[in-house]
Amino acid sequence: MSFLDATSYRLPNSIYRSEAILASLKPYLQYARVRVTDITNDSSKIEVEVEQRFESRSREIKGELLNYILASSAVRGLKAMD
Amino acid sequence: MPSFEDVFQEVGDNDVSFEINTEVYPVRVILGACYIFIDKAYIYLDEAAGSRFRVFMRSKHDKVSTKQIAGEFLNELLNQRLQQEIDRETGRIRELLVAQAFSDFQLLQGEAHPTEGGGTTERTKPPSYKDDPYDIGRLQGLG
Repeated sequence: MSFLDATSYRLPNSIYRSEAILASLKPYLQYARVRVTDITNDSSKIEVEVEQRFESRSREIKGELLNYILASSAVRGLKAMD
Repeated sequence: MPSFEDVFQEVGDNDVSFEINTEVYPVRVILGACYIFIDKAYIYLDEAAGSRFRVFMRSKHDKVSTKQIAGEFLNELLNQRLQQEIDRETGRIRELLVAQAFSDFQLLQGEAHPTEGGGTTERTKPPSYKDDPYDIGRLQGLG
């Protein structure tokens, strides 16, 4: 089983920034239902359920969403550290 | 002694997982390396025991093995770590050189300086390496 088969992901705030998570979701809302919890505490948790009509590409959609959140977090995180 | 192959755990089909110690590779280094690799692999980071992160990685292309990408990722971590070190040592000099290149005024010693009245002070002779005005020779134990 791939990590891309999971339906929820814990995103530690030391890497993933909450504002990056929220800002990254919009492009994926047409493919998936996304639920974000625990956004202000130590770690955020996102639950991703891909729409049935896109299920054959479920891994790619989740992988791209995770990458997009990671890239946004990296850009914001590196800027904040400078 | 564990072999290099033991670093990677294979999870599922073409997935690889491994841990990174943040005492060796700070978060800034990890973020820099991840950013470079997001076009080659899907990456997910989770906290692990101690000051570690667990990286889950899967190649975006079936023909390219994730293990190969993970190996390159580890090399990139080293590269980012070294760049951070060089930046810490020489960053201020680089900023000064760039500032001088784009400045109308002489920021470094030995040229005309603007005064409050709008004029400039008298030009002094540019420093020569023979004079060693910055005392570099003494600092490097040459003189």
